[in-house]
Amino acid sequence: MSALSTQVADRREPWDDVRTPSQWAEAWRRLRKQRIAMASLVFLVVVAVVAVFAPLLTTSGYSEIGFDPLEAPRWAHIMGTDELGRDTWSRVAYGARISMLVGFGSQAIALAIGLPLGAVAGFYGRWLDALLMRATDIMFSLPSILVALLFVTAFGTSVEVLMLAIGFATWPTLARLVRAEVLRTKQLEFVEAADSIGCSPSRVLRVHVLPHTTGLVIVQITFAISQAIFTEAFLSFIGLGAQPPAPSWGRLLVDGFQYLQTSPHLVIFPGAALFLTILALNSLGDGLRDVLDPHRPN
Amino acid sequence: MRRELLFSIAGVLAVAAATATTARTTTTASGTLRIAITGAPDPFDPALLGDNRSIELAQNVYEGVLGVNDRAQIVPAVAKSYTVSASGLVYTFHLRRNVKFQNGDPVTARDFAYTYNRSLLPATASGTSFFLADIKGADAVLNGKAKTATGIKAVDAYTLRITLAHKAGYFAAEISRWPAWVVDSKVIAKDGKGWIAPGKNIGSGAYRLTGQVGDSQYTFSANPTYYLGAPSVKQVKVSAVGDSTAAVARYQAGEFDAVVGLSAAAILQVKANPTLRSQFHSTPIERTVWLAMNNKKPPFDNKLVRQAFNAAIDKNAIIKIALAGVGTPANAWLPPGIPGNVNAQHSASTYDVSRARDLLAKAGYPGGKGFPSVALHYGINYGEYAQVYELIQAQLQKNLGIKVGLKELPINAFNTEVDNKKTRPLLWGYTFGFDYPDAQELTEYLGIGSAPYNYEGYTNARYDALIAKANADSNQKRRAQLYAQAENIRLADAPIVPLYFVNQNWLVKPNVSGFGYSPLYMHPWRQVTIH
Amino acid sequence: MALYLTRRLLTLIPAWIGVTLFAFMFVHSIPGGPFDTGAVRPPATRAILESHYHLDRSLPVQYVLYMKNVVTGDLGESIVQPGLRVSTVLTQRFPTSAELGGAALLVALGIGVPAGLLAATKRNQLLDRVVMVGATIGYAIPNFILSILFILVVGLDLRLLPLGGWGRPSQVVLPALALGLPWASFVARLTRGTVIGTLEQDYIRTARAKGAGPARVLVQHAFRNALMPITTVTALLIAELITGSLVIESIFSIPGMGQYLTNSVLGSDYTMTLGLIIFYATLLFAANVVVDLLYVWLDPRIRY
Repeated sequence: MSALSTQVADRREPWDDVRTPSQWAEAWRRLRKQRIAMASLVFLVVVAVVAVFAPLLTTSGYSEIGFDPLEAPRWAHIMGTDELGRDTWSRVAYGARISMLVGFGSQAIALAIGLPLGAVAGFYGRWLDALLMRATDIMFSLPSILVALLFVTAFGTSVEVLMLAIGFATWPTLARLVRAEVLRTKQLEFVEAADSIGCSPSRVLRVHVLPHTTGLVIVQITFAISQAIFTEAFLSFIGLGAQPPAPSWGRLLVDGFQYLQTSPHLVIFPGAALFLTILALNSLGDGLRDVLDPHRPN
Repeated sequence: MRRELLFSIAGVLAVAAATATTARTTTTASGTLRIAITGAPDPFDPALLGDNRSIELAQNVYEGVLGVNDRAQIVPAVAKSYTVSASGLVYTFHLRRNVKFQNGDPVTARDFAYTYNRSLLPATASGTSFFLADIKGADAVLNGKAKTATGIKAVDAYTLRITLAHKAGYFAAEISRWPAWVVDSKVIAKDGKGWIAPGKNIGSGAYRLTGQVGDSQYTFSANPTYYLGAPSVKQVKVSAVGDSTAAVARYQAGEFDAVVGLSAAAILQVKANPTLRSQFHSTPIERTVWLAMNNKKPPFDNKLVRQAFNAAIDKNAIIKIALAGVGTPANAWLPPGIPGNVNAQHSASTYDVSRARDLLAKAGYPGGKGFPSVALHYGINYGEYAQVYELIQAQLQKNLGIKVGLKELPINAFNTEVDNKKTRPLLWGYTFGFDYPDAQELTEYLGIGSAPYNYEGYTNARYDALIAKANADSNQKRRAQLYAQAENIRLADAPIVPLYFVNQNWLVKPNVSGFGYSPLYMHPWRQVTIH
Repeated sequence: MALYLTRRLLTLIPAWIGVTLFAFMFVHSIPGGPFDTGAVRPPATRAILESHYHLDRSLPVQYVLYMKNVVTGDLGESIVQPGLRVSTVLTQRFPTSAELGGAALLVALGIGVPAGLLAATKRNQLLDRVVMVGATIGYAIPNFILSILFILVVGLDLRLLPLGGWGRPSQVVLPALALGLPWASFVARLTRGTVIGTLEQDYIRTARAKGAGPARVLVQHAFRNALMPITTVTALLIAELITGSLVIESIFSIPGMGQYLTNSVLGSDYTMTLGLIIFYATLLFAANVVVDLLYVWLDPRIRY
């Protein structure tokens, strides 16, 4: 069906943006129909299960050295062993925890800070916009490694601190994007219409303008999650990441890198896990966006 | 091993490619030596140097009264001989008469006096002014109360007399190093801060810095009036290539004659290639890495525990697995090349798991039961050393049943943590590299009870007394014996677990002879011949 | 417009000062200083050095001393590498980083925007799916692995391009691709999303109802509006890419600024870090002003 169908029944009215409980249920029902998105959701749930139940699913710890190093995959070690003689499957399984926590957690924080900030700045404009955007500019100017170093040396090297540090370093991007979108959307007719019928500005922002940023936010967040995982890998390279021998996927990639020619399984398995997870995340995001976007296709 | 440790695949695969295809060989102009190093050196002001890489290059441009030979022994350089008074307080250097700066100015004792005073002046802000601090009157200069030290005297044009404030048998070693490399006062007066720019830069060594491209390529030209004769290699081009495996690929393609400082990943690839393997060399340099313990706090205040740790760590495995086999196991503190080192007597492996377990049981922690929770702290610089400590953690668990945590930090933050009494860990990894080839530097700053960097808290009055005696004695043979005695006392107390001595490694083409490393630094280029 | 510009430039001054203040505080809050590298020196020598660089004075005094130099254009000298001026590093290294960043930006926009447009017009058809999966692949792989894959395929098997170094135009290709492709993916997804969203708007339907042809509709209305987030992203990309990436620079042996920034932060080289940050912030502020002005040009209904 053409995206520009003119059937009256499909026209979206401003008041359709309001979400009622039955609308959430309906959104979920529609999501269930998208096969790829559902498959992705299932995959992500599997990853989460592996992460949470890693101790039950692995026979050796992720730091247990003693097996022959650099062994190719075989029955006893289905993903082989690494350069220090640790079981790669254990490390990949436990690695899911840190990578997922850092990835999702940091972007939850970035969302919590960046979304409201960008929306308010774009919507109310004037001095509030100037103030918030200058604050954002200042945050942009500070290199993320400096921010990470500061957090870690002040609060220690736990996964929570890493989430905070990366979230803090990435919210300005989201804020800027949201602000741009809000600037553009607030000029549209239906917003003026809502305003004219007496909706308070905050309601207009929340109910009419913000939903238009859904698509953009989803794209940015799914991208940023993958970047956050790689940032954690880089940070562990310089001593600021998850403490060894904790195996985040990023760290596994970085450690196994030098053995790419001799023992490629050290890169292939964590790399595949990472890749598939991000692919699933994106597909789910696409599905969500199609479902939640006020201008979804028919 | 530098940061390219982990990001060197570019070259890893390029090496494979280069071997698979016929290498483009660029024949070396018989007079040009092309070297790849791992990073850009600092600007070449001898008073301000600090980084090994810079010093290795600068040693070809500047010289002092004394120098260091291939076995890291102190030998005369610009001075043809020197005498030490019976009191050990007065050093008289007799300079050669045919030494000139690269701009033709003759090098005289007055130039040395100028150089030493300049290095001491607070305005110069030299980080190594302490090499000259034993000179009489140096303190006054360092405190800003005088502009020259009374103990520095140019008796005549070719005689330099230095009077020390106190006995210091290590003075000869100190004076051979870079803050004492002579500089031309006229050049500095004329060009001010810009005097170190290529072209303006003037030293008295065999080579002159004549060109620089950004900060990644440096050209040095031979000094035809060098007092030992014009060097065979007419030009040296030094390139800073951050990624050592990329450097190896370019070496294979004929772009470089030598590559210095390969990362562990590059070493693995080199060892897998027969041609490269035959061109690969490594030698221990004067840097020790050890596991430090807080001798003043439990559980490491118990000697049995420390000895148990010593016996439980397999140093050969560490070198093989974490360092790509390039390193020398250490069972003593002073590295090879330092007079007084006792490595020959302690070369047998200390790794003995059953003995380790016995010791731990005797200490009150049989099988590791009841051992307090301890974290192993260390600092890293772009991925270096991390695997060493992961391996140690695993060995301690397997051999002693002790679970230690790991805590890594970037180097500066780590050093601050160790330095501060409140945050000092119980167990950590540490390293020390010598600036001059004398045991005094390590023992005085890290070893004796009152040493500023004695973080372990090790105190032994006999040890301290021997060290004080050795530092003051001017008879080098006697000093070495005293240091050796002190070393043995220290080793018996087991305040630390020495792990390994760092190896410098390099690749060099077979047609280049004379290129290599002493226990301290790269051999001077004037020894190199290209066939 | 002129009024806006004046107002904006006026707010930039306190913002710029804010950057210097925050950067200064952050840099000095990190434990350890430039002399904590582990090099051995007697406490007395260290005291001399710290006094020389004013590190023994109180922080506000240090800040004032530093800013006095900065406003006269003197960004100072590195503490860790004495003799090396910050301005020297900038003149030596920034052009390289800028070139590489610019090339990566071209890759990101040049591939991303058309791909996104294409996917949007052929929505839910095969081409759309292919482009979107390709886009996801682009940023699901960390850039150091991406670099290697390139070197493997292009450099080794096909022997088309040099594997590292800097100076010849052919040496820009691989690193620019490695740096820019993940962003191309992002731009593609963003473009696709925004264009689709815009295509749904009422006024597009109005235009169509009035008989405007599909191409005209797309170019004039939808794309023009989608340009806004793309412009924002461009500004973000400039910020990201201009300072250089330590990873890419290491793998491809490119003498860029990324290494200096990372090294100076880790080494607590205050002057170098602050100098680089201030330079970078100035560029960033300028870029953002341009972007905000572009917004108005793209969509005249926007008011600030």
